[in-house]
Amino acid sequence: MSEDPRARLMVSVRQGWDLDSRVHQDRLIQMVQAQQIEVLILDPIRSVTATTDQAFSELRPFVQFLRRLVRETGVQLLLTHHDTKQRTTGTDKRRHPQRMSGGGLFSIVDAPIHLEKLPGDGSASLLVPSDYKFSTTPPPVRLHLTTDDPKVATWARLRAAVVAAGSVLNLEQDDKVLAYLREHRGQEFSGRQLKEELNMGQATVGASLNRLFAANLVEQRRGSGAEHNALLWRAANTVGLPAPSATSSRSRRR
Amino acid sequence: MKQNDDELEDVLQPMAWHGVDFTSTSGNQRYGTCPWCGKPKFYANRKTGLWDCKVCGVNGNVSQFLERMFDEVYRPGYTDASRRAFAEHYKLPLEALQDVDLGYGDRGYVFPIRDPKDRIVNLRTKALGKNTLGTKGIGGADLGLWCADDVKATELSVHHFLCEGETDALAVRGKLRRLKKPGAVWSVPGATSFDEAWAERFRGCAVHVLFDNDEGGVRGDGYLHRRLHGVAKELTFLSWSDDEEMQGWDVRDYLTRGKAWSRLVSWFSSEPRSHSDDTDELADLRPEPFDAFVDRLADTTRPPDLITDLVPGQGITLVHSQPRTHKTWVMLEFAVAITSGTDAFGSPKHTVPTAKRVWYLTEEDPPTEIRDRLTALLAGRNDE
Repeated sequence: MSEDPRARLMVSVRQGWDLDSRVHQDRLIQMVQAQQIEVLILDPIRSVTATTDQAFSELRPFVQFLRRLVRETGVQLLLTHHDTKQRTTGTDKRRHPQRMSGGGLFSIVDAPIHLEKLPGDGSASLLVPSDYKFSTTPPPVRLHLTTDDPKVATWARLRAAVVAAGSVLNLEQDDKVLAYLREHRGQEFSGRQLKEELNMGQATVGASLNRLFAANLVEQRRGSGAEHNALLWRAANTVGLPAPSATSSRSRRR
Repeated sequence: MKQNDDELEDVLQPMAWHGVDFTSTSGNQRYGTCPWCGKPKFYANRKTGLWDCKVCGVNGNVSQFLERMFDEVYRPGYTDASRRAFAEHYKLPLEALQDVDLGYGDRGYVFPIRDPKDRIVNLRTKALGKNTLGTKGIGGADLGLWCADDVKATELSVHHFLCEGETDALAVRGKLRRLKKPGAVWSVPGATSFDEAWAERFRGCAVHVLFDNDEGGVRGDGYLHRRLHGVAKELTFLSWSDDEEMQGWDVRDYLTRGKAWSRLVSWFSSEPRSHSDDTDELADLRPEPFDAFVDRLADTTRPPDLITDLVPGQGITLVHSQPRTHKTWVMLEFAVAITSGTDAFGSPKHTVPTAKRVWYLTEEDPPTEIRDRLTALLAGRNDE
């Protein structure tokens, strides 16, 4: 590693910080200045304030403190927060930030990132940035946690691969289509052929192919003659992309 | 088995930081290796911090432990060689470091933080070229004022000089001694880190604030004004010259360039460079002409991403999810990537342009869990 992270990393775990208290707020600002902290991570934010799940009027004093903290110290804030309970019926069509508990918090966040567990053994998640205020929103990534021992890891790696889909459902569909195209690498298929081979709806296959194309994971060309000008799709010759798999295999050390 | 520092009671942290190797626990007692005799017969009460070495036959409270460490280990360690090394590194005159309340130990120079009754409440350490560090002192006092001079000898009639950091304080002290001028020199741990409780020490005194010629120093003036106005008999602030050369300087920069003390004193003003009392804060709430606003930001560029294509370099980033979706793993990975300046998630798309100092704060997960996860992530990177 280029720098020793131990020299730059400060940790406070269960020390009793209560950032609804003015005394603790002043103390935090003092500490950030004295220790020359450049990035402060509050994980999760509700462990240091009781206001996050309340209406904005209750949250406002805490928000004012965060702004004062940034103004007086220049520190950058990385926070975590929980979502509201998952809907038990139907598909959750809310935008990702709207799933955040306590809507007021969303209004002060400049870069919301949603995490969603992927089906399987629990080692994979989908990380979806959305609605960035000051820059282009980055593409989603699939995270995969690998450890030597899931209970007490002495060794762990969290690895990311860019994906096209922004939801678990779409990701499963994309994985299915991409897996088929890669399995038949070198061959070209029309959307109709893929629909029949994969037993999926035409619109679903079309949407998936468009997402994969936007992420440079598949290539397309316009057919001619007997192919009736249909779009023909094949897997892109991209090296180093993740094997598409909606259900990741059990984590093992390489 | 060695006790994990995370699990050690706050009251015992100063002892662990300054040489006691706690190895075991028995009821209300922890015991370990004595820093003076090296024998495993050092006992300390987990609630009160009262300690006792069965071999040395000495005992006391936490303050007495720190006093003893300072008097028997650190003060004798502060020799001519360490004095010269400090003076050379910071370009200070040797007079600045003579008869000073300073020690030297394994971690570098040791600055005793004393309470108004002259009891040591913390020992802060500083290696050459590094920031001053402190563990929790008595009652969580990890910050405090350091007086370069014998605090008992400081009288009301003496002028008190408050500087931003120890090296500035020593530079001022060196100049005062060279000019044979009386004065007590203090180090404040940060421009806006002056606890209200410390103000009482300066009641009825003449106080001069010599903070840096930068934005933090200007803000610090207002901060000190709010705390010392009406407490100190005389209160002045160093109002730096507009000379462009001096932008960003501190008093050490000024004095080590051989510039005149009398000129610096001529810039003392009873008016702070900024006010931070409520009324004057309101005075800052006014519209700014557009051209002035653009000029003020002329040298300011948009900061690069903290983590390229993931975490922007400004604003608040928030990761949200249902429970058990690797939120904490992600934040710890962010922390390790940012502090090490290496790619997040092992992905060349997510580089870290500049390594930064990070504080990870949680009230939720147990310390052992955080320790294990961080250690595992570091081990995972080192294996690559």
